[in-house]
Amino acid sequence: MVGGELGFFIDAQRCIGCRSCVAACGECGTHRGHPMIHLDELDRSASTQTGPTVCMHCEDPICAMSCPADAIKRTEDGVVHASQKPRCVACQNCELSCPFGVPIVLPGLEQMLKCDLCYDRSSIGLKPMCATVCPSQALLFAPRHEVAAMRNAQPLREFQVGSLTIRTRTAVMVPDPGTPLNLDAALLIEGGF
Amino acid sequence: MPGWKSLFPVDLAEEGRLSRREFARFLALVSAGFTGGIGYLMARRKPLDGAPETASAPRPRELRVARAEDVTPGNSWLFTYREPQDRCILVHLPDGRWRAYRQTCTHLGCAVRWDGSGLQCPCHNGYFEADQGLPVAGPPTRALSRLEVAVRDGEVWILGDLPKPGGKA
Repeated sequence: MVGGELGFFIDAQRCIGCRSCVAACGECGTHRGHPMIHLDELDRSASTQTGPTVCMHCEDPICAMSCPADAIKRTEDGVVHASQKPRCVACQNCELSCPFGVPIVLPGLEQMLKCDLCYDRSSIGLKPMCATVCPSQALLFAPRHEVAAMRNAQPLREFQVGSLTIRTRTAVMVPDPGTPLNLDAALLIEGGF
Repeated sequence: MPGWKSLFPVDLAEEGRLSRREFARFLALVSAGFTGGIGYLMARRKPLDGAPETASAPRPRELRVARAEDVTPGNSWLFTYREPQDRCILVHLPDGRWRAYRQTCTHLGCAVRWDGSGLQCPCHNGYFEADQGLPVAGPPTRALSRLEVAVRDGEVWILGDLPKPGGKA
């Protein structure tokens, strides 16, 4: 158990690519054996750098707004949940609309599942499974006010995707949080990052 | 925010929330619907008791079942009355009078038959006399359902409704 207002912090610089988080994610009671976490090798030929992606739990969740079946809901604590099984039509709108690439429509299950912060655990103050097992604390679930003292990097909760500004509950640790991180995929493809 | 968006909120807590205004609107619409429906029913009902009834007057129920010459005295004639399952029997008594009964035996529902002097049920040997359909032998205790018969211009007519079976003898 940890005290204070809890936040989720992703620090890709600390990630060692051990995939513990992926294994632990599938063990979560609300995930029913399906890991929701994405662990990407960023540039495999040139670097060992890996980056974990969990749900950013946006203030205006684009996945939920794009859902035609009204299946994606956010609880009062700001956690955006996986789709409700009776409603989800597996249309993949959420997959396509999410700027972070979080939702997954699992083939065979025909339902969108995504990181819900291990709601069975985090709703009672426990850490999500990934944060529990991460050996390098690249995935950190801790009181927000303690993080600044623990790390040199600072949390960033605002991202720019084209003309859209996204504010999130989950934070990404960056050396300089002064300007919003531009996630425009078109710019990235053109090499203008 | 467009109006429909409030019906599909992202927040779970907002789902199913009903404002006072929405509830009042719902009540008003339902009440108006009921009032309108009842008004419509009132309007299409017949105007007043005692007013001249034209279209709704009951048509006399009559059915021509046979020609009188086809059923000689002492013989019977089977017919159905209005519905195919309502099997009935017309009897021309030896003294010239006409009788008609539902063919269903009042014991267990077998079809009775004319044996020349009365109506006999073959299932349990029940027996009905021909004049009023009263049971005179065997298990039946109730009379056969009787139909009104009239002979007009050499044709036999059944008048009135089919009586319900089960009148006490």
